[in-house]
Formats: sequence, C-alpha cells, structure tokens
Amino acid sequence: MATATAPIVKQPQADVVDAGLTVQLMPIEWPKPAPAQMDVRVEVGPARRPDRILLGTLSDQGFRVIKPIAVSLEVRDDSTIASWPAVDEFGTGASISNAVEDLGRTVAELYRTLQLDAARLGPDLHAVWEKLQEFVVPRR
Amino acid sequence: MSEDSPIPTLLAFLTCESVIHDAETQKKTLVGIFDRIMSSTVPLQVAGLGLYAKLVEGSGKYTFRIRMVNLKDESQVLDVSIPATWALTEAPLELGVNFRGIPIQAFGTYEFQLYANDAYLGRAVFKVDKLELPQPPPAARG
Repeated sequence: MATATAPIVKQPQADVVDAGLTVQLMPIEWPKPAPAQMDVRVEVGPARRPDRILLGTLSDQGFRVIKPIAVSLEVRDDSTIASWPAVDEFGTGASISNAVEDLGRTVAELYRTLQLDAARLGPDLHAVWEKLQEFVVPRR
Repeated sequence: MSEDSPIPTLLAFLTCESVIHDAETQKKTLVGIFDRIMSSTVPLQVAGLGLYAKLVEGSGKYTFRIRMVNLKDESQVLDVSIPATWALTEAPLELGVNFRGIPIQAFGTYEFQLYANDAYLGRAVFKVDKLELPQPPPAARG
C-alpha cells in the first residue's frame, strides 16, 4: 500500500509585486554591410629584400605622419640602417622594422628639439624644421 | 589606391589562431591569441593563423598589405594585398584575416608587417620554437 507523508519543506506563497512595469522586446535592425568586392592578392615565397620603405608612423604616440616618409635601407654587418636623407637622420636595428622604429624615435626627438628653438634656427636647421613639418604633425 | 587617403594609425595588431567575424553584429572575436608556436620538427605548416588589426584616423580607399618575413634574414614568406574602403572617418577600421597552411621552413622569429597604401604602419612578431619532448626513463631490468 502506497503511503505519502507531508513534504518537509513547504514553499511559501509568492509575494506578487505589481509595479505596473512592462517589458517589451524590440527587434534590433543591424545595418547590413554592402557585399564586399574583395580582390585579395596572395604571394607566397621569397622576394627581394627592399632597399627603401615608406614610413607611415614614428612609433611615438605624440606624432602623426601626414605624408609617407621615403626611407633608404642598407645592411651593414648584422645591422640594418634606415636613413631619411632629407633631414640627415638615421636609425639602426637588427631588422628593417627595428631600424625604422629607431629612426622614428630619432625624428620625434629632433622635432621636439627644433620646436623649442624654432625662432633661433640657422638656415640649414630651419630647412630641416620646415621639412619635418611637411611630413609630421604633433597630436593635440 | 588613393594618394589622398590619410595615413591611418595602428592601434592593435595581434596574431591568434582564428578571427571570427559575426555577420550580424560585425563584431570580431579573437580565438587563441599567441606569440609563440612550439613544434618538434620543421618544416611545418601552421594549421590556422589569424591576424587582427585595428586602425583609426583613416578615410577613403586603401590597399592594405600584409607581409610576413623571417627575421633571421628578412626573407619573405608571404605577401597579401587587401583592398578596402574606409567609409566612416570617425569610426575605427578593423581588419581580420585568417591564413591556413602558412609554410614555416625553420625555427626562429617571424614578423607580420602591415602597410597602408605602401606606408609601413607596424608589426606583429611571433616565434617558432623547438619543442623538446621529455626522454622516457630507461626501462627497468630485472
């Protein structure tokens, strides 16, 4: 014969709060991107080591490059030398990226130095200062 | 390629196992961010490698170029060109690219370089190191 006992725990009556709130789910319309016409070109394999590069960053948060800087690359022993002849500055490093980042930091330092003395520059440094401003602007 | 497009600023450039692009929300999910691959042998092919870049301060038409080199001698492994239009100037641009089967010929340090309209913006570096498996203990002889 089946027997039943009273449950040990009785669930209390729920307090129903009616604050007059209603929640309505609204569908979200995400913008649909236009179908992209991708023309991706992939090359796998060796290519000639570049002897020049266009620099688009100074690796310094304080500056923005507004015109690509044409940088010459040269390998001496185990180092790469990246130079910007127009302002007579160079950077070195174990790789092209290291060398151009070193050059970027050097150019940023040069900008700050010339900016401080802009009113007292001789003709040569004034030409360098004007060239720098043509390619680089400080961030606000 | 447009000469008038401003040079963008690179905020992030990361290597991971895969970049997932949600078609509805346009959000990108980076799975397995790494900067080191362990392998017992070379040559090898990397099964999955994703690249994610976030850029700001650009607008107009660009050709983004991703170049992978072996830093031992700067020899090129691959070179990919991707055309893109930066429609909203005030919004960042995200690039997500997935590669399958990148050939790695030797252990060492490799680098992805990112260019916008041929201007160098930055790089992401990863290493391929030799995995040294522990030697099994000599068998006990009775």
